[in-house]
Amino acid sequence: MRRLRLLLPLIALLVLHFDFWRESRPQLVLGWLPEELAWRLCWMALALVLLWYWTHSPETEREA
Amino acid sequence: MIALLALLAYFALMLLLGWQAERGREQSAREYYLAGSGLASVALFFALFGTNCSPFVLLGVPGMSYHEGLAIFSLNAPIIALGVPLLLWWMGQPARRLSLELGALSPAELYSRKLGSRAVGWVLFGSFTLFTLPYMVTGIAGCGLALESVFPEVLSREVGAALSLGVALAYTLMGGMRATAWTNIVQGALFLGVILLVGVLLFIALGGPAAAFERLLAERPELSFLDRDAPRTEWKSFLSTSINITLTVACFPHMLVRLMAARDDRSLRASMRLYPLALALLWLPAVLIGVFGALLRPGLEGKASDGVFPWMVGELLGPQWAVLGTLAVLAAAMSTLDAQLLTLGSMLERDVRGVRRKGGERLFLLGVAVLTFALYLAFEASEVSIFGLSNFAFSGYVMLFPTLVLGLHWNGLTARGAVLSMLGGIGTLALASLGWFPTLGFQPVVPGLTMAFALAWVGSLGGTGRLPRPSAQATNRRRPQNGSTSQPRGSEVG
Repeated sequence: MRRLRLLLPLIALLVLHFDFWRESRPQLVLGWLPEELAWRLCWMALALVLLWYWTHSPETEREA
Repeated sequence: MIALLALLAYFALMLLLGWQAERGREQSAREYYLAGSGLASVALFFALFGTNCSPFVLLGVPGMSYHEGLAIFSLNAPIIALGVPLLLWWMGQPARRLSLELGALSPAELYSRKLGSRAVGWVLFGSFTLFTLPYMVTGIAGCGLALESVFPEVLSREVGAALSLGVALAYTLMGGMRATAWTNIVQGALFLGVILLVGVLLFIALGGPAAAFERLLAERPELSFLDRDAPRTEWKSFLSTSINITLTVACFPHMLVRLMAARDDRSLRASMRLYPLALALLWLPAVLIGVFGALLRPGLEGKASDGVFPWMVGELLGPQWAVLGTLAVLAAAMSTLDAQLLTLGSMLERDVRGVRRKGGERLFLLGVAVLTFALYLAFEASEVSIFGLSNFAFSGYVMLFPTLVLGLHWNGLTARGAVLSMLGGIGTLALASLGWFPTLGFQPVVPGLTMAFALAWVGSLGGTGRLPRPSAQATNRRRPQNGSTSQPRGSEVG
């Protein structure tokens, strides 16, 4: 169960990375950031959260 | 004059750190090759980061972004930022622990002892050498080019390459892993600092982020988004690239050996958490330099765009400080080169020659450096490109992934399965690259990896292929001398 809790967000992130349904366009978000860059930076922020969770999990932390 | 002084100061600092790292240290093989298994968070992070980041990020990434825009960031940076630290964390914990338990000092020795087979060590050593030597050649080739561009009348490309290799060899010879960890802190800070500085100055020069991106959308809108119709973003190509760039890093022997040198899991965890942040800080300006380089200096064709980073440094910092760009490239190249020298030297000594006498390790390092330079001279005389050589090395490393990861996490893997997996994977990769094996539209790395996994499983079926695995205690009793299993002396690096 714990392993599933780690794997599901990982799979979700991978699906979001290979985002073939998304139509990227040349436009700015908040008036200054290209949409493509904004999407990827948000993805990286989510990935960072997952990484912190993963490295903190007792499942993967056998000794500290 | 400033350029020459800066270059000399950089080289002198590296040598001084190497000398300092050697002073007063215990003269054991574990101390020399793994810094006594005592790399703490900061040193470990910079050792991994510096080792992973080569001139490709400073020259190749801006060069590709010049033509393909922000898509280069989208395709590579996120998956590297997640995949690499996750894999290194997953493999690093057992690798570090087993290294201590089995008294192994090199990656090949680790798997050879774990699977109880010298054949595994030999095949791993051969494969690592086959793919690492060309990678090292690309590093010193980059150094030669960088130095020749700043000192065209003083240094030829070959002399520049020899000088960089010589300095990296000298400090590695003096202080081993500890020297490379210390120098990697300076080198990592240097190339990260320079590229961030250039990124900030770039936005200042263009009137801020809003003005810069508005200009991009007005003049080159195609560089601001991911074009779904481009060949690079077709799903099979996208998937193949993602697999390649993520798995290859986890299979670098010079990264594995850094993981084995971690002081504890806490150091490893802290390094992994920092990794995506540092990667974003490095890749984002690298891509933006290329993208805005296309606005500020249009018209560069093909590989000429690889020069956009040094050009941008000269433009934004002024010609007298253009040497900073060269130093950043040198730092990125040497921080990878030193780890490669040390790792190949350790495998040559531990896995091939089997010599365990004091001081013997330095002789093997020297041998690796001489061989690398000879290959570099052959490379310069050939028509092979740096990209082609890197691609060969990176795809090849991925074929070792099943053995490296299953060897740590699956007790069912046998020596026979490991050997079959490595040789079968590399063979399939070669055949697929030549068009003699179906790829179904993927890059050759995908069928090669699939075959490697399949053979690891098939080769491990049944009992005949299984070799008895010696217990850790038995292994330590057999090989106690230089592969000392004593706990780290508590001396913290960094």
